Formats: sequence, structure tokens, C-alpha cells
Amino acid sequence: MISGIYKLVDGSLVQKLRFDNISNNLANVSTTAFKRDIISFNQIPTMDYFSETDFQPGPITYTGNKLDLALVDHGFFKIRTPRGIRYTRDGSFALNAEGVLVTHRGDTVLGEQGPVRIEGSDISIKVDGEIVVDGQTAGKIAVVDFENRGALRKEGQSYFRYTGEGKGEAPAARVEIRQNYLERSNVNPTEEMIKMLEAYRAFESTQKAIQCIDEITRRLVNDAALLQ
Amino acid sequence: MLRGLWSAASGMTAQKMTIDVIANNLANVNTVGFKRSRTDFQDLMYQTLSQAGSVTSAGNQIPTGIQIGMGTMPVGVQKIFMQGDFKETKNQLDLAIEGEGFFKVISNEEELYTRAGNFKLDTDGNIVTPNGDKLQPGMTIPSETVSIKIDKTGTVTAFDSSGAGTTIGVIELYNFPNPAGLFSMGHNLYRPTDASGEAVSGSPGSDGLGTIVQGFLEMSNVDVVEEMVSMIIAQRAYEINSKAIQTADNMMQLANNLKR
Repeated sequence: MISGIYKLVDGSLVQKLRFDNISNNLANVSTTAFKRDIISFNQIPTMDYFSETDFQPGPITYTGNKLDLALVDHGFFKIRTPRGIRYTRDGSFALNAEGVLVTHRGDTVLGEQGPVRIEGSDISIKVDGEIVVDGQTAGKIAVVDFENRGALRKEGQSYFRYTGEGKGEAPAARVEIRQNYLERSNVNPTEEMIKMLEAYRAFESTQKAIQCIDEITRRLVNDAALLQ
Repeated sequence: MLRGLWSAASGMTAQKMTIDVIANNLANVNTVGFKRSRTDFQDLMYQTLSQAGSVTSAGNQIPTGIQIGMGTMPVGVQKIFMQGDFKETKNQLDLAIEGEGFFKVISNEEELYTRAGNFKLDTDGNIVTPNGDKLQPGMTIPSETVSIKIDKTGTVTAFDSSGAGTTIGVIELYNFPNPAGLFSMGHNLYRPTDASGEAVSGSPGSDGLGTIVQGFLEMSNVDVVEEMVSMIIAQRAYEINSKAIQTADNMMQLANNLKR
């Protein structure tokens, strides 16, 4: 009798978790190169659920800033942070005082031969990531991809950390970098709103079912004795 | 409490900031030499509820785990130093920079930089901004001057009533390794920071610096249509996050009503 309640409580907690996740997707609807998360279920009877990141590239938009880079295909920029190597698709880069290409947080963007130093004003970045400054090649931006993208964990600040075995990264199969463009969030607000409604109503139904069980239990406790 | 409530709140704060920036851009749609700003966002930290690779009580290995994000945060408001439109004024002390670079002025004994070229003459014959800040390197226009010619490399020639010209000085331009790192002072002025790097001087037209165009002004680089579209997106995103807050509120109400 009572075990039914625990199943329902578990069910409502899952809906709450789904809602938390949708809410985060919606909060990041204008975050550069954000990748939405999905809560998925393995098997319904055991309620085994996990979160997955949808790595589908988002739409790209023109910004007119020559240090804004968008990756059209799958792949990640490689960033050196104080905590180790991280990966991101957020290509809104800048230069620091030494002329080194960095992220908004000041972490170094890695090229195929280490950090990229840009001296000069006429910066053009080719589709394959080659950086040409005043007619001279200054390096090539590293774009890597992973066989097992599921081993990438989100860390905030648009960074991903690889948690799988080995090095994991390999040069991306197809590199297409667009200069002056940024990748937008791949969150679809309509879809998230529908999922939010669904999670909300499912939450509501579990609450109703809990009330039902409560009512039945009340009857059993209070009225069963009267029947005898 | 519901995490989603705070995530949605962070989304609303972020969109509010976008609106603030857009409003400022639109307010400066006619400001000479104004450069529009844009906000950049990143996701906040993630809470790991179950670690990938850990083993459940049933003995199964969890393949991917659960990570729930905590919302969004603004990470920078960046100036976009795209060229603005030119407007012909025929005023001989209106200077536009075609290409990169900044004018240097002295304001309160501090060296500051600007792209607004609407200069005037003060009573001593100095070239000054509308706020009275002197253009650097300083030069004095003789009082008997009737017209001033400034060529594209910045050479200033003053002509007197007889038509004889004398070279007064040369206007230099300055550039930065990272102009987006400049600190906006207001009054169209920028102050160098560690992020922008040291100013590098040069004569107009050399070292990647732009050329000077006399009789023109560089207008604001704000594109009204683009700002309006951004505003629509920001407003709707704000709205959608407020809906998430309402939903969180309703969910908590439902949970509260369990106990009658």
C-alpha cells in the first residue's frame, strides 16, 4: 500500500529534475554556442535516468567582430586553462596585452603549435583555421573532436572536460571555421516550453496520485473499522 | 528548493542586461564615433547528481550520470569596433578615420583615445574636442589662418588670406593590440587597460592604421534594425524565463497542497 507512495515520490522528483534541466536550457537560450541537455530514461520500470548533451551545432549569426569564430561542423576549440585543457565551441575570442589569442576569461586558445600570437591589425582566419596576419601565416587554430562525445562533461563557462580514457581527442573530421560569426545556443524555446508543460503536468499527476493513495489510506484507517 | 527557479532567475537577469546594453546602443544611434556594445553569456556551473562511471546499488555502472546546470551569467560586454557610416559635413575640422586607429587627446592631464573627430578650435588656436580636450600631438593654428587643409596622412596645412600655406604639424593615430579591451570612459573617450595593451602610434595610412578624411564624420556603428531584432529576442527570452519561474511556483504550490 505505502510502497506505491514512494514510487510516486520518486516519479515526482524525476519531473522536478526534468524541470530544473529545462529551466537551465531556457536560461541559456542566448548563451554563445550553448549545447542543450536532455534527461533521458533507460528503462521505465527501474526509472534509470541520466542527462545527455545534445551536440547538434546551433545556428550561426554574423557579428562583424574579426575575432569571433564559429565552428560550422562538429568539433571543439582547445583551450589551456589553469585547471588543464578544456574544450569549447564558444569562439568569441580576444587578444590579451601580449597579443595572444584568449577567451573572454583570459584562457589561452591553442593552435596546432601551441598558443597563437597575433601581431598586426589585418587578421584573417581561413576556413581551415589558418591565421593570416598582414599577409603572414601566424599559426593554425586547433579544432579537435571526440569519438566518444558522451565522455565530455560540462563545467560551466561554456567549457567541456574530457573524462574518458586516454587522450580522446583527434583532429576534427571536417573543419569549417567562419570568421566574424558566432554560434548561437542550440536550445529551441518552443520545444523546451512543451517539455516544461509536460514535466509540469506529469508532476501534477503524481501529486494527484499521492493524494489518492493518501485518501485510500485514510479510508482504510478510519472507515474499515466501522464496517465490521 | 527548485534549482530551476534560480536558473530561470539568472536567465531573466541576463536578458535584462541585454536590454540595458541595447537601450544604450539605441540611445547613441546618432553619437559621433560611437561603437556599439554586445553582451556575451556563458553557462554557470553544473551540479553533478550522479557521477558517470560510478556503480549503482544494483551493481550497474552508470554510463553518463546526471548533470544539471545552474543557469547563465554575463561574461562580458564587448565593444564592437566596426567602421561606422560616414557623413559629409564640409566642416574643415571634422575628421573621420577610415580604417583602424584612434585620435589621442589630453583630458584632465590623462592621455585618452577617441574615434570621434568632431574637433573645434579654442581661443588659443588649439584643436580640441567639444569638451575642450586637446588633440595630441598638440599644434597651434595661427590666428591669421582662413582655411585648414588636412590630408589623408594627417599633415595639417594652414592657409592665410594670401593663399600661402604653412605646415603646422602632423596628426598621429594610435592603435591597440586588442581595442575590445579598452575601458569606455563616456564622452566618446577610451582609456587603455592591461587587456587592450599599450597604444602604438603611427602616421595615418601606415602600419595598418586608417587614413584621415577631412570634412567627414564617422557616425555611430549602431544598426537600428539589428538592435530591434536583438531587443525582440531578449524580450521573448525574458518572457520565457519568467514562464519557467511561474511553473516552478506552481510546482511548489502543488507540493504544498499535498498536506491538506
